Amino acid sequence: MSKVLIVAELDGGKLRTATLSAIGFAKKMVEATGGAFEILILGRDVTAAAESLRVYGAAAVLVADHVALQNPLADKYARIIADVAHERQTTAVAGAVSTFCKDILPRAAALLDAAMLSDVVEVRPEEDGWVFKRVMYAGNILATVSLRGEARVFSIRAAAFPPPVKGEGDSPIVPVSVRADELPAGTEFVERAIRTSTRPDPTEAKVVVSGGRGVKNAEDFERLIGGLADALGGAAGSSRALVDAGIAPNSLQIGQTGKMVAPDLYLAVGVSGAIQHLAGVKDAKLIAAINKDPEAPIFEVADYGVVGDLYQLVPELIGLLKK
Amino acid sequence: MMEPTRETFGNIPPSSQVVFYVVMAFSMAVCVRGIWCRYRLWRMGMPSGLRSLVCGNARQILEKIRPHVHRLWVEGFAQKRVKGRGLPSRAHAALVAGFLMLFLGTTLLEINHLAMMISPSLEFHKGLYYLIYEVTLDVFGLFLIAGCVLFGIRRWQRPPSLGHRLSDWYVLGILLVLGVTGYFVEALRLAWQAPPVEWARWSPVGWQLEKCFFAGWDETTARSVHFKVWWFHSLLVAVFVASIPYTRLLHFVTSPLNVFFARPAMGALPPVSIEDVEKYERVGVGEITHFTWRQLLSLDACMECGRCEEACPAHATDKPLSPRRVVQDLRELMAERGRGSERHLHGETIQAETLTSCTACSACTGICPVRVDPLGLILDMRRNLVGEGGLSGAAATAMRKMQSNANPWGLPLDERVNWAEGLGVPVCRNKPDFEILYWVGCAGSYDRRAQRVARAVVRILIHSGVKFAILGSEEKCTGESARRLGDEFLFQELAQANIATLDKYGVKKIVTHCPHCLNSLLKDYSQFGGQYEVIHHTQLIAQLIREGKLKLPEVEAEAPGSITYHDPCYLARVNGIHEPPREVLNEVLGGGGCGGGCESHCGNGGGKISEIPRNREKTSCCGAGGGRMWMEEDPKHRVSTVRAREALDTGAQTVAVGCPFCLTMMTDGVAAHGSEARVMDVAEIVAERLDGDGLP
Repeated sequence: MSKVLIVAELDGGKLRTATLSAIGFAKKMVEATGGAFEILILGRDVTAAAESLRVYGAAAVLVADHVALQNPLADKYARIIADVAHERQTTAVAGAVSTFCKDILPRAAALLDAAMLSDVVEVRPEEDGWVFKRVMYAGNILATVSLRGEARVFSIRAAAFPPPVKGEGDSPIVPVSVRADELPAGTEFVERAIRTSTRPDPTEAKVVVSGGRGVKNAEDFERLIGGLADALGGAAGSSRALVDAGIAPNSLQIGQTGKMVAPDLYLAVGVSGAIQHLAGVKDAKLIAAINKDPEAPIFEVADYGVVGDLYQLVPELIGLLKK
Repeated sequence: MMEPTRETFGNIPPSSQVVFYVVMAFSMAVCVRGIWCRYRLWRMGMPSGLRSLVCGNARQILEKIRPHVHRLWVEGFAQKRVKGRGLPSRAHAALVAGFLMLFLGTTLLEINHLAMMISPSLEFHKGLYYLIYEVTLDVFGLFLIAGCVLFGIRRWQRPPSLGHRLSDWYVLGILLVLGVTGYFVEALRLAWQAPPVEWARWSPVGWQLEKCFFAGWDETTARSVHFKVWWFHSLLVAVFVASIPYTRLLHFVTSPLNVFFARPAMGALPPVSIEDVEKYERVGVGEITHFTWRQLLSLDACMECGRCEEACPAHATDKPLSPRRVVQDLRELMAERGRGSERHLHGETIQAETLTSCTACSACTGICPVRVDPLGLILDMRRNLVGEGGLSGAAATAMRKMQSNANPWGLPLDERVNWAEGLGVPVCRNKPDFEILYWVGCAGSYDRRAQRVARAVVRILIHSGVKFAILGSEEKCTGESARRLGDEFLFQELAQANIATLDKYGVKKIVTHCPHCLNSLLKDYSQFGGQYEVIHHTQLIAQLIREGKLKLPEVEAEAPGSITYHDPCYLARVNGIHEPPREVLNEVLGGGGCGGGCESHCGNGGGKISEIPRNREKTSCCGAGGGRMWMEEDPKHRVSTVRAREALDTGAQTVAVGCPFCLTMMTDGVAAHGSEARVMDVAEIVAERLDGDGLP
């Protein structure tokens, strides 16, 4: 018998789709050995999001709605998660792998004195317990592990569990009482800075178009790299050289000292392919490169490559894509 | 005719002589007390293992002490390392020569005086000896004065790297006045003594002064003034002696001591054992008292001449690091701690940014005239900084990846050997017959650019019929940058794994294209039981050319000077390997092998590479050493940009390097200047010539 508690994640009042994968995980556990799962949603004015969660077959949608929970501060959220899990005799707490859960779940696990597994990609029952698979060392190792103890906390890799199909909207909504004055107040919310860019973050996008030293100035970067990214519905990225030169913003830097990306398609435009940059794209599924130097090391890692001037090729490519 | 001499303490009544001796005894007591106080400060430090110097029988002790004594002679007395800085070096030589000779003269005079107290027949201060004595001291006195004047001018101009205290004027002033009044005492003595001209002219300076100022003085006046000037001079000597430990004059004592006790070991770091960590509950140096007492002594040997600061690549690019400042700040902290201050080392004296700015290029340690080792101090503090969790950001990520995947980029272990696909490279696991192991290193294994270097090396080895093998996926990062960054235990973990693998295959001789791997395999690994002969690929290539095993096909020779060579710190400065790469490159330029070490005709001229002004041991860092490869650097002030400028200013179209880190940094630097010059490893330049030999 399992009793699973899923922690839902909101982004600006809207439910993040990764939460559905966590529900998929919960369903898998429940289907295997029986039991039930509940969804806990925390925040302020979350009624709409809570309503949308009633259709997945949860035993209850628990709503902690309070002004003190307006922003996801780990110390407050973790305390409520731990209290709810304790009260409802939960055997497993789970959420999707995200910055939100990385921040909050380990703290909740500590409060529950529970073992925790991150990056879980598989779960199956075994004799008297469960066996999990999780990725380690940036995807180089798949570890098979089991946990001791009653309570367990998990973060779930979204891609590993399919979102559940919608059913009838019949899960009851159960309010959770929040006593704000008893919550920890160690962290203070200062501000929320939102990227103004309309493009997705390179770490989340399925397609990343990245510019290197071949791009001469900021206008060209926006026009060519940004333009191509928009045409492909992807994110823009940059090598260190462009960030150094002030052509691309720091937040777009990809590589050992920048962001690690794992898109389905990585399009390297005018990027020579220094190891410091390539270390950041090693998880890309497909790499394509445009460079005028046929000797550029990028062609050694690229699945497809075009030798040519990006100033000629990229506008053509954008033109073709727009047709 | 009477034998030439002069009366010791002539014109000085016995009462004054007694007072003089009392004053001098007091002055020396003040001096000794001052030195004792410094000694007590040094003793706050940890034991230095110097006891082992005096263990064993007399012969063993002599053997152990011999290099120290030799150094004291060559570098202390003969000032070998002070040389080479133009005028300031000459000024110092003049000052030392003058001072030592006058000190010797005064000592001899004193010995003569004491001898005569025992028996007048023991007097030796007379005759020809006396005349030579007089003329020698007269001449060396001029050296002393010249040294003071030259140093005075230097202090007046005060270059920014030169440390300055108000007391430095006092030191130069008192030395100058001592020199000048010494001559006046002599002139006045000649005035009242009126010796024959044949004697007097042996004291040329004093004699000229006498003729200028005191000619025609009667004896009584001359005696009276002589007495007064003598007292002035003598009291000044007393003040001078007493002030030795409280001014820069302390280096009379500390610099020779430091030169004697120094254990020069460029590129070697003392290992940290788990036992020590458990015993002291810390790694590295967290407080001033955690340094060894030898290191604390070295702080007092520093005279702030600023050579280290001028050589420091971090300082040259506006990083918050000056080796001179670090040494001086520590010295100040040591003195404060002696007075009971509780000020801490990390954060309150030395900032973390200062420690992480160091590229471990060893230029400071290599250039210090008195063998202070700022790099050793910095790395000891870094160990503590990193041990306490003070490393963050990109470098910390690289270390984490090095721990998990045995390479700083965190790339999969099983891809380590992908670069060699299709080359037919023998791998140790398949038990090939090999004489030399080719250590590829992480860059050669994973960096697409450096992989070409590895392939070039392999091509040369196969072409020349060298029996070699690689470890393949069993090779791990040497841990060099982890160690230099301060993560000693990550290094030891990797070193032990590598040593086990190397020993498993009975490796005796290793060739590598990476100077950091070379230094680590040679000097770090020997501390953990790994004893190997390690050579750089340029050494092997030079040898193959010399032995005729590698012949470069004749092609239209490139223009002389079309290639320049950037010496890697850990090859040229730290391990003294700088001629083999030049030999190889000159061969490429059609200059023919010149046997190495031929400074005279390798520098420039027909068929030779063009030289960057700072070359060989004086090379300047590319910016990637000491783990800086894994850190972000402000693009406006990059070490690599500065060094690339120097290389491009030679006018060469190819910048040759001998290190994968240099390859990355110089490529970036050359690109930052918008230059089209090629940056290539020496092996690539050679392999290019082998095109068409049918090998892949």
